Formats: sequence, structure tokens, C-alpha cells
Amino acid sequence: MLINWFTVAAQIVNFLILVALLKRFLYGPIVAAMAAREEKIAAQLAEAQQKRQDAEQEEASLRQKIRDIEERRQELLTEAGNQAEAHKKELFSQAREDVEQIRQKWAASLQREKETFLQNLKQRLGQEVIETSRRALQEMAGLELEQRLTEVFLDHLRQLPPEEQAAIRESLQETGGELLVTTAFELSEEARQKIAARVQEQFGRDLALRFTTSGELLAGIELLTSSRKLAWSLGSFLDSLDEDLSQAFQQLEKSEAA
Amino acid sequence: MEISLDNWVLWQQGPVLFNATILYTWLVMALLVLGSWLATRRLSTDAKISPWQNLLEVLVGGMREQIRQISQQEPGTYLPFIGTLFVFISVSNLLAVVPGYHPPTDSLSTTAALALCVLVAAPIYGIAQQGLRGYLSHYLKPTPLMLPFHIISELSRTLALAVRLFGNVMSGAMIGAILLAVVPLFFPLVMQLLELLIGQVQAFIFAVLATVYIASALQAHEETREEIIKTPAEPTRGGEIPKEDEKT
Repeated sequence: MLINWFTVAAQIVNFLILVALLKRFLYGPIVAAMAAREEKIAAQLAEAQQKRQDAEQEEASLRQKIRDIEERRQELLTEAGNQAEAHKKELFSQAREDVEQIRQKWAASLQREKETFLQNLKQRLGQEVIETSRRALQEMAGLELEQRLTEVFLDHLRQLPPEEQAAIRESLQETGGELLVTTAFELSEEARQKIAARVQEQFGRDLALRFTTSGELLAGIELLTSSRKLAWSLGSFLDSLDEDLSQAFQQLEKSEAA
Repeated sequence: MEISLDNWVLWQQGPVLFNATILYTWLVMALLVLGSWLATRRLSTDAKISPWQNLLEVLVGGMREQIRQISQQEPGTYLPFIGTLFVFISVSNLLAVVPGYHPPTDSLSTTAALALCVLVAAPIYGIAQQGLRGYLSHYLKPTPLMLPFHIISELSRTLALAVRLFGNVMSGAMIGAILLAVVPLFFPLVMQLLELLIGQVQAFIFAVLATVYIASALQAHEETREEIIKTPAEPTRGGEIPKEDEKT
């Protein structure tokens, strides 16, 4: 159990050498490797965490994009629906307008046809009435129709309102006193004298009278200055007849429409 | 009782001699250095590592953790010294299973040498940490009157620890020798196992006591010691299982 002091010294040296060698070959490399590994693993974990966060962000942004697209799609659909609805309404109103225009055109043409028809009817009817009246009057009383017409015309002249008479007088003075008497028939000498006497009595003695006939006048007498006209004929009866016929047609239409 | 390794002299020239203790110490040193060199030659820094690297990482990591817990200090500076104490004693005792091998720790010269190393290392670490003035001023607190008592305290603690280390190592060899003498035929295998266990316990105790002693030489060592007494060191993760309770 002795202690050999040289051995103690040698063992101290051995131990210190061993400490140095192990520090060089064991602790240094191992500790460095452990630190490096820990650092590396921590870095990998951090990287993984980072990637995971990135992926989550990416996922969130993609979800948002999908939502946006879906919203946009809904908007477009709604917009398209609205546009189609508006277009439909527009087309409907357009069609209604067209129909209305066609109907108006048709109604106008119908009106025109009706007017034309009434015009023709009036002329034909007037002619027929005049012809028939003339024939009937001639057969019944010979020249009495003309005489009667002359008398009626003279009555008209006599009963002419004073302002009319004044106007005609004035007109006569302007033109130098010539008066044109137009009749639908040839007046007898007697009738001419009666009319001349009557006119001269009423408008002045120095009047010059000229007599003409015209087929366009319907059984009447017309008194013409340069600017005035005094007329009486069956045409006025025919005009009232025309009105009566028009009213009759309108009533007929109303009853048909009802 | 075996022959002391110190007396097994292979070569001598005056006071310089070469005995079996030194021979076996060199063998252990060569084994340790070679093994370390082979294992750390290709260290991997990836997640996947070789089994040898794994073993060494567990060993070194466990020692670092033990030092950190006992000394309440970062283990970087103390690891080579304390770690080498542990590894050397541990491997020396572990190789006892090899026939023809004699652990150098069986020699009192070796244990005395290690105790002296610890004795010197403690003030060196204290001075390295606090500087010479800081370390010496520690002896004058709280008043210069306390200086003799501080010195006596340090010396007695050092002596006590050294003797305890010495006694631990010696007792292991003694117990083994006595038991072998008592039951030479029936328990050789059990004795070998017991020997291995005692060797590892000795290694651990030696390292822990060295740590405690160095820590006590550092600043605030009073609190540190109290904490160590309250919370004994936990087992290392992997490696040898400490059994210090019946010895300390």
C-alpha cells in the first residue's frame, strides 16, 4: 500500500496528456457536432414551420380567390339575367308600338277609304237626286222648277241681310258694276228680266248683267262679282244630306264596335 | 491480496521507472484516444448519425448535463477535466473483465495523482473565472480576520475530499479482494459483476466529487453546495447508472 511518488508524478502527467488528447479528439468534435446538429435541426424545424405558414397563407389566399370568382360569377349571372329581362321588355314594347302603328295606319287608311267612299257616294247621290228631282219636276210641271228656283232665289235676295247687301254693293263699285249670274239651266227671258229688275232695284240701276249656264251647279243660281259670291242651289241640301249620311255611318260603326 | 501494480517494475533507471501501473494507464489512454479518433473522424451533422457517434453524444451530453446541474455553471470549461476523470476511471475499471488486465486505478499512486489534480484544478478554475485578485479577495470576506479560517476551511475540505476519493477507490479494491478470498469457488461471476458495478460507481463518485469541489472554489459556492445537497444528481440519460447514495 505504498505510494510511489514517481508513479504519482507520471500519472499526473499521463492524466493531463489524456485530458488534452480527449479534448482534441473527443469533446471538441462531439460538442461541435452536437451544436451543429442542434442548430441544423432547429433550422430545419424553423424552415418547416415557415413552409407550413407559407402553405397556410397560400391556401387562404386561394380560398379567397375561389370565393371572389364565385361572387363574380353570381354577379355576372344576375347582370345577364337583368339584361335579358330588360331586353325582353324592350322587345315587347317595340312589338306593341309596331302593332299600334300598323293599327293606326290601317285605321287611317280605313278612314280615308270611308271618306272617299262617302265623297263618291255624295256625288253620285247628289247627281242621282238632282237627276231624279229634275226629271220628276219636269214631268210634273214642265219649266216650273226653273221658275220656282228663280223665285226662291229672288226671295233670298230680298231677304238678304243689310250688311251682305252693303258688302256686295261695295264690291260692285270697285269692279265697275258688272255682275255675273250663273245658272244650272237656261233662264227664260221673263226670269232674266225679273232677276235683272230685282238686282237693279237692290244694288243700283246702272248695273250690267251677264247670264251664263254651268253644269257644275246643281239646280241653283249664283251671283258673282269680282270678289263676292251669292249663291243658292240644291247643293246645300246635298251637303246636309252628306252630313246625315256621315252620321249614319258613324252610328253604324259604333254599334258594330259595341 | 494482490501485488501492488506499482511494485511490478518492468524497467528502472535511477529514480525513473516504468511499472505496470503506467503500462496499463498507457493502454487505457491509447484505447480511449484511438476510439475517440475513430468515432469522431467522420462526424455527421445531419439528423441521421452513426451508432458510435450516437453513443459518444449520449455520453458527452450526459456529462455536460450532470456538470451543469451540480455546479450550476455552463459545463464548457469543466467538461474536458471532469469528463476525462470519469471516462478514464470508468474505462479502467470496465476493462477489469479482460483476463490479464489490471486496472491502473487499483494503484494508490494513481488515485493520489488524480486527487492532486483535482486539488490543484479547483483554485485554477476559480482564478480563471474571477481573476487572481477576485479569487484571493474571496478569502478576506466578510472581514480580513476570517482569512485563517478560510484557509483552514479550504485545506480541510480539500483533504477530506481527497481522502474520500482515495478511500472509495481503495475500498473497492479491498472489498473485491476480500470477497474473492472468502468465496473463491462459488461466486467468481457474481464477484466480477460486483467489481464492474463498484468500478462504475467509483468513477461517477470521483467525477461528482471533483465537480463539487471545483464548484465550491467558484464564486457563490456556499449556495451552490446547499443546492447540491438538497437535489442530488439525477441519473444521466443513457450510459452508466449512478449509485452514489451509499457512498456519499
